[in-house]
Amino acid sequence: MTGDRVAVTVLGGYLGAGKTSLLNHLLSVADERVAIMVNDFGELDIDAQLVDQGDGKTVTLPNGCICCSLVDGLAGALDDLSMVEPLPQRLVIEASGVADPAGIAAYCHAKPYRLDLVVVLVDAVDISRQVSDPYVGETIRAQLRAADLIVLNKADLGDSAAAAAVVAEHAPSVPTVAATHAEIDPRILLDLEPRADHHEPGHIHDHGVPFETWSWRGGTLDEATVRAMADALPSGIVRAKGLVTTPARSLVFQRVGERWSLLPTDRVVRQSQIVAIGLPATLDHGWLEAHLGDGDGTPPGH
Amino acid sequence: MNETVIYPGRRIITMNPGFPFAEAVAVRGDRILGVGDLAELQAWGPHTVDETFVDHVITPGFVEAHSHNMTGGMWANTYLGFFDRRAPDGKIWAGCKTIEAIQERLREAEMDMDDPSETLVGWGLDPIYLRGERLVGRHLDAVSETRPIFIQHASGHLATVNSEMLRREEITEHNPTPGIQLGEDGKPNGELQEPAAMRLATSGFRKMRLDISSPETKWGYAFEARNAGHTTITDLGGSLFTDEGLDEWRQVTDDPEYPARVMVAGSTFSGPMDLHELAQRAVERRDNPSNDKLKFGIIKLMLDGSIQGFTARISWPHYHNPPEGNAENGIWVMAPETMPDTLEIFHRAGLTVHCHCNGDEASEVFISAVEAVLERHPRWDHRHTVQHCQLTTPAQYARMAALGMHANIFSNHIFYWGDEHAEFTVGPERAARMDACGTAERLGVPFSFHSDAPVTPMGHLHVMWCAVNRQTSTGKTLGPDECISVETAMRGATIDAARQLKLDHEIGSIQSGKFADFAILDDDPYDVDPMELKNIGVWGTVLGGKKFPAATGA
Ligand SMILES: [Zn+2]
Ligand SMILES: [Zn+2]
Repeated sequence: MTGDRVAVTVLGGYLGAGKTSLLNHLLSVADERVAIMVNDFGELDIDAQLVDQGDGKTVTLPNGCICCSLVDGLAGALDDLSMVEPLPQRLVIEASGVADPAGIAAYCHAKPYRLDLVVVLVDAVDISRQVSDPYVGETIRAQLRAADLIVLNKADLGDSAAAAAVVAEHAPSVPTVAATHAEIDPRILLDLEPRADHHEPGHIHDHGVPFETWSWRGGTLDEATVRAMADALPSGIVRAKGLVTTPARSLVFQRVGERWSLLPTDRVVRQSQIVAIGLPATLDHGWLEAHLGDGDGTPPGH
Repeated sequence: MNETVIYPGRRIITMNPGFPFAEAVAVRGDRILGVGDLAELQAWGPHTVDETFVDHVITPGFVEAHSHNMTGGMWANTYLGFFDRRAPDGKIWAGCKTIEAIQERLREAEMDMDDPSETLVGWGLDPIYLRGERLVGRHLDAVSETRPIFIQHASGHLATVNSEMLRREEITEHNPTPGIQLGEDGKPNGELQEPAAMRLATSGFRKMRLDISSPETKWGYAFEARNAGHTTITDLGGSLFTDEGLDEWRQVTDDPEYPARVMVAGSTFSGPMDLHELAQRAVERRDNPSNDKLKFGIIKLMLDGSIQGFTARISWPHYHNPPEGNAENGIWVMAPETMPDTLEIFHRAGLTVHCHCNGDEASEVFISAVEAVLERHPRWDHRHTVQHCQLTTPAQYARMAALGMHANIFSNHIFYWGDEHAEFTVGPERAARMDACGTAERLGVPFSFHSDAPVTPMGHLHVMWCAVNRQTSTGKTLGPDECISVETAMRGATIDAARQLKLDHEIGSIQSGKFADFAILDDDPYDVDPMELKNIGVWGTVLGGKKFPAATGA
């Protein structure tokens, strides 16, 4: 059932960028069953209590594999987890400091998984040096290009404007947010679940990073209209989510970074709803209405 | 007291430079009593003379210091490679030279399967050698349209599946996984590139995983070793280093019929473990051996990828003629800056670290880490080893010699991928100095060489042939200045490999007091034309005084 796939978050970034801080933050704000895979060997620094509360499962990934790739550690770990009952609702894979998150993300389109977000952390203090390091420079530049979202961490400690410029040079179309202690808005990190009973659009500053949300609610839509809207969403939108009812069936809309999907769901959807979150002023007022109609059945453009 | 048995042979090659050749070897129990002529050996007292090897050449049992246990699990599935290959049971599987031959082999395998929904798995396919059109899913549909089929290629990086597999696992053109190859009709054609896409064929992937972790795999691994004259093999990363995982090794090696000694490397590859705990376990196991066949004391680390996969870390000017879209350089498996601290943990525990370094940038990182750690914690006789060592430069070999390091060189690459290296990966000049046994010898780095089985088939006669002749699969000579003598190659296959594993006090040469571990050969490596080394027949082995004839497949 497509609606119930395990959402996968890939955490990437070089050593010291704050991946474990972000993982702990994520565990503290998630209210779902989260499984964790960690790819770096050495000492783990995950808050065990948070893992327990998450009711999930922690798996340490083998570091690399033997010389010939016949058995791949990540593929094996994903296969094992796919047989656990009940399945977790989310899987967070903390990549090793030199892993290419795109390579890990490639594994996350297999049943029962759904790639949700590739978030890459950047050490704002050290990134200018790192991107031109003779050994790992290319590795780090590839990490930046692979991201759906870049978190410029330790923004309070370094020259964050210079760091942001370095990031923009190597990953110009990836939304970037500054953070301290890797604390970023859980609605970006996890999920934007539109709820029929309560949703509060507007500005939210609860983690020190300003994001803006936009929402739309209405009746039946046709698939082509939703697809056209999904293609038109600009790159400042970090995440969008929707439940859509069409004359034929109900659908779940997910967009993260540039990647989106519109998949059938068994859920009963009475009203179509779309929520988007992104950098301030990414969408003009009325943008969703212009693309989806007024919500009363009037098609867009009328 | 154990009975003394004297084995006369056509010649005994001892690999002990002080007593290089002999007529016979005397064995008492599992040890060598002495070597010499018959009269000298009879002076040890009551004995029997066993003439089984009187027409054979007896050498120290070969020591493979880099191979993997999973080798023994491949044969649970159907062999589809281009070259003839001998299974652990001795049966020679003819190479499949055409798509029709592959289909025929699969049809035969299918007839032996009872459950019509079970996945049929094949391995070893190498499309480079098959002329004409590329094998795709439709060719496998001709074998079965109702049973899923999964064929793994020799590289390990590709699989081809049939339409039933695509249907059952819902592998469609809409799946965003990179590597799902599409045909002209825009639908998947059955070829899945790289492990992320291969894993989508779940039933095939799972069967292969299960096959290589079974106890039968450990037996098949030792049978394959015995058939090639090996008495000591390695599991260089891959074994679960937990009590359960290591007890499986203890159980098989406790069995007197198990025909090999096995050095099991500690590694982080197959299970989570704190590095200090890993070091402690390796030391405990080394110092409290459960039997004479199970060995510990080495740790496997891994820095980069593979040269043929364009993922090894190679210094400027990097790759010669890489595929379009390939990154400029390869990948790191471990962050280079973490190498010194990681190495230090095992170094201080008194263990030997074997680090996979295919590219010269990787060997640079490892050698520099050894240098840094030795400065902090001087230690004699560590024998830290660069594994694969394929592009290690003369300057690096000189440093390795100065630091007391060893090299384990992937000589089989010259035959299997040498032409590709000259044409695509590194270009002719650097290809000519790949796997540079000659340089290692000239600069005084003790070395062995390896098959990395299952990457290439296990067998030191073939690896020696590569190191001595440096011929590619199309018959070109790659870098004649790096060729070594048969005598040096014999050392690399026996005593120098044993020394690398710190087992040279027990094995690696035929001399009084060591284990009676022999390779029994049909011909004399010093007498045959060096081009014939790989064709020398193997009667089998003697391990700890016990005869283990090679399986003949009859
Ligand atoms: Zn290797
Ligand atoms: Zn290997």
